[in-house]
Amino acid sequence: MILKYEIKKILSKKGTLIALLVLLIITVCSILYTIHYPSWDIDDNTTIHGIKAIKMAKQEKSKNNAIITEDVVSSIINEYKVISNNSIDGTLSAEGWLKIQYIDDLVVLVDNSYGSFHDFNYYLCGQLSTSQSNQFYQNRIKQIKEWANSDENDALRYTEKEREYFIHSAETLETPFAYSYMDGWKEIFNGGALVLFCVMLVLCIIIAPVFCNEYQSGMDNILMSSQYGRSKVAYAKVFSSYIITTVVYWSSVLLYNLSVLLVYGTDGANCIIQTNRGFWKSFYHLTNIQALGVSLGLAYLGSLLMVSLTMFISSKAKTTFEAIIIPFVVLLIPPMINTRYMPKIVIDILNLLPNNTADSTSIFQEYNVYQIGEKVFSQCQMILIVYLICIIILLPIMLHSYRKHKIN
Amino acid sequence: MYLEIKKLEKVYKDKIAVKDFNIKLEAGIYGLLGANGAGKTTLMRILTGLIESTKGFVLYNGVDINKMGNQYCKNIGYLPQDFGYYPEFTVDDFLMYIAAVKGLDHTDARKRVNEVIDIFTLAEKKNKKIKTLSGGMKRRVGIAQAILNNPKILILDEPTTGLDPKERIKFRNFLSKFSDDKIVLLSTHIVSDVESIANKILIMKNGKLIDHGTFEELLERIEGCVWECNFNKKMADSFQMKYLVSNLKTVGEIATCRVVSKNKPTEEAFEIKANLEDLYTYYFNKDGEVE
Ligand SMILES: Nc1ncnc2c1ncn2[C@@H]1O[C@H](COP(=O)(O)OP(=O)(O)OP(=O)(O)O)[C@@H](O)[C@H]1O
Ligand SMILES: [Mg+2]
Repeated sequence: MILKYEIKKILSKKGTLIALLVLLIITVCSILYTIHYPSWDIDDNTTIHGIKAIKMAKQEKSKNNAIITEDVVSSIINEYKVISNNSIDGTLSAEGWLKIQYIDDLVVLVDNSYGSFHDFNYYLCGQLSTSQSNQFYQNRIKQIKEWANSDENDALRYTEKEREYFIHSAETLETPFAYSYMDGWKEIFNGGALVLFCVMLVLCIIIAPVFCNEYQSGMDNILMSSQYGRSKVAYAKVFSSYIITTVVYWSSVLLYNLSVLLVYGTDGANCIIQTNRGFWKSFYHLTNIQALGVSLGLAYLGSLLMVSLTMFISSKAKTTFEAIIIPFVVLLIPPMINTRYMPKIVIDILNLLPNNTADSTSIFQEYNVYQIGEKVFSQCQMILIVYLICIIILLPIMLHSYRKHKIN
Repeated sequence: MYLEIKKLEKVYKDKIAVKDFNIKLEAGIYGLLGANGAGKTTLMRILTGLIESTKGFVLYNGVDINKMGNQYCKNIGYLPQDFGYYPEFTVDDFLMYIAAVKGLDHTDARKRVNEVIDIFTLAEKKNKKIKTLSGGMKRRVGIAQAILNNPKILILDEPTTGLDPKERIKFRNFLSKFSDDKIVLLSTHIVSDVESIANKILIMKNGKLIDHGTFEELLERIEGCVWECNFNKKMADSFQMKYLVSNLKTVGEIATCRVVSKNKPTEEAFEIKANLEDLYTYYFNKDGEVE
C-alpha cells in the first residue's frame, strides 16, 4: 500500500509531468524526423521524401534480397561497371547516382570488404574485377588480422589477448551473409540514441526528489517518527523508482522503435549487423534484432544505474537541485571530453559510463574490450557486469543513508 | 504508563537548546510554554526519537527509548511545528499514506482515516488536494495524522496555530477524551490555550524547565503579586521600564495596567486575581534569571 502512494507521490509532481511531456515530444519528433528525412531520387530534378521514399527504397532494394554468394558479389561488381559506364576510377555520373540507389547497400559492403581497415572509398567497387569476387569473406578476416598484427597506433593500444579476441571473432563469424533490405534497422541504430539519452535525463529529473524532498519539506519529521518510516518507506521508494524507470523507459523506447519499424518494416531482422551499413568491422556476432535487444537492454541497465545514482545522491542531498545536477554532469560531460590524447585507462573508464549505453552505434562499431586476467570481455559484457555491481553496491548505501538521516 | 526525562541536554554546534531537563510525565495533557527559541521543538523531537540527546535519557516505562527503536515509534504520534505535507495529495490520500507508514493494514487504515476525518470535520475536504486547503485546515490534517495510530504518547508542536475558535473547542474536547490513558504534550504560545486545554503546565526558558504544575499551583506562586493601577498615559513608558506589566489598556488619558510585582507599585494600586498571562509575564518578560 505504501508503494502505491510512493508512486503517486512521484507522478503527482508538476516537474514529473512536464519532464514526461517533454520526453514524449522528443520521442514523437524523433519518430517524425526518422520517417520524414529519408529521400529517394526519382530523376535529376525530383527527390521524394518521407514515407513515399521509404516505400520506394523498400521496393527497389528488396529486389536484391539474397544470400551474398560469390555470384552475387560478381553481379554487384558487374552492375556497378554498367552503371558507371566502365569508368576506370569508378566515378559515377549524375545518372549513375540515380541508378546505383537500389544496390547502394551492397556496393558499400563490397567497398568495405575490398578496402583497407581504415579507409572507405565508394568508387572502389568500380575498380574491381569479377575474378576477385571469391575473396569477399576472406578479405574481412585478412583486414582485421593484418590490422591486429600491425604496429599501427590504434592496434598497439590492445593487448595480445585482445587482438587475438578480434581475430578469433573475425574467423568464427558465420558466412555467407544474408542480405535484405534493412533500412529500418539502419535508422533505429542511428536515430535511437537521442531518445535513449533523453529517457535517462528525464528519469533523473523525475527520481531526484525521491528522498531529499522529504527532507526539504519537513515530512521527514513525520515519517521518521513512524513505525515504518525508515524501513518500508525506504524500500517502497526504491521499488517505486525502479517501477517508474521501467515503465517510462520501455514505453518511450518501444514507442520509438516500434513506430520506426512499423513504417520501415522489420525486413532484415535476422541479417547479421555486419551487413548493416557501418557495422562491417563489428566484432559482435549479432543479428539486427539481437543487436537491438542488446542495445535496449544495455540502455535499460544504464537507466537503472543512473536512477540508482540519482537515488543515492537524493538520499544524501539537502535539495532536489543537488540530486539532479550530479547525474546530469555524469551524463552530459563525458561525451564532450576529447579523448584523443588520453591514456588508455581513462578511455576505458569513460567507455563504461552510462552515456555510452545510449549510443548503440558506437558500442557495436568500436573495438572496446577489457582484459581481466586471461579473459577478454566486450564492452557490452563489461557494462553488464560493472553496472550490476554498482547497483548492488548503491542500493544498501542509499537505504542506509536515508535510514540514518538526521532531522534538521 | 510514564515517560521519564532525566538530565536531558541537547547541544547544537554552538547552542545549548535543552539543558538539565528533568520530569516524569504520566497520563494527562501537558502544556509546554516557552518563548521563541526556548527549546520546545528540540525537546519534542528528542521525545519522538527523531534526534538524539547529547546527554541524559528518556525512559518509557523505565526503558531507554533509544534502545526500543521501532517498538517506541509505534507509541508515538507527532505533529511537527511546520512541514510541507504533499501538496498534490488529497487529504484522504495523505492520511491513508501516513496510516500505512504507521503500520495499519488497509482495512484498519480505511476505518481509522474515516474516524479522524470525522473528528476533525474534514469530510468536505476529503478529496481536495492539500495545496487548496487553508492554513487552519492543514493544521487539522496535521493533527489528524498524528492520532492515526492511536498513540500512547501524543506530541503536538503548536497544534492550535491557525485553528478558529470553534475548532479550538472541538480540539479541546477531543483531547480531553483522548488523553484518558495517554500522555499528551503540546506546545503553544497562546497562553489561553494552555490554560483551557492542559491539566499541567511546563514552563521552559532557555532550554531549562523552570517551573511546572497545575494551573492553580502555578498561579499560587504569584498570588498577591498582581496589581491593577491607573495613571496618566504619559507615564506609561516610564512605568513599564520599572515594572513587569502584563497588560496595558488606555481609555482617553487614563492608562489601566496589570502589574506583577512583589510590592505595591503605586499608592492607588489594588490587588487582583492572577491569571496565566500574568504568570507568563512573570516568567518571560523579565530579563535574567527568575527569582
Ligand atoms: N538544527 C539546529 N542547529 C543549531 N541550532 C538549532 C537547531 N535547531 C534549533 N536550534 C537552536 O536551538 C534553540 C531552540 O530551538 P527550538 O526550535 O527548540 O525552540 P522553540 O522553543 O521550538 O522555538 P519556537 O517557539 O520559535 O518554535 C534555538 O536557539 C535554535 O536556534
Ligand atoms: Mg518550536
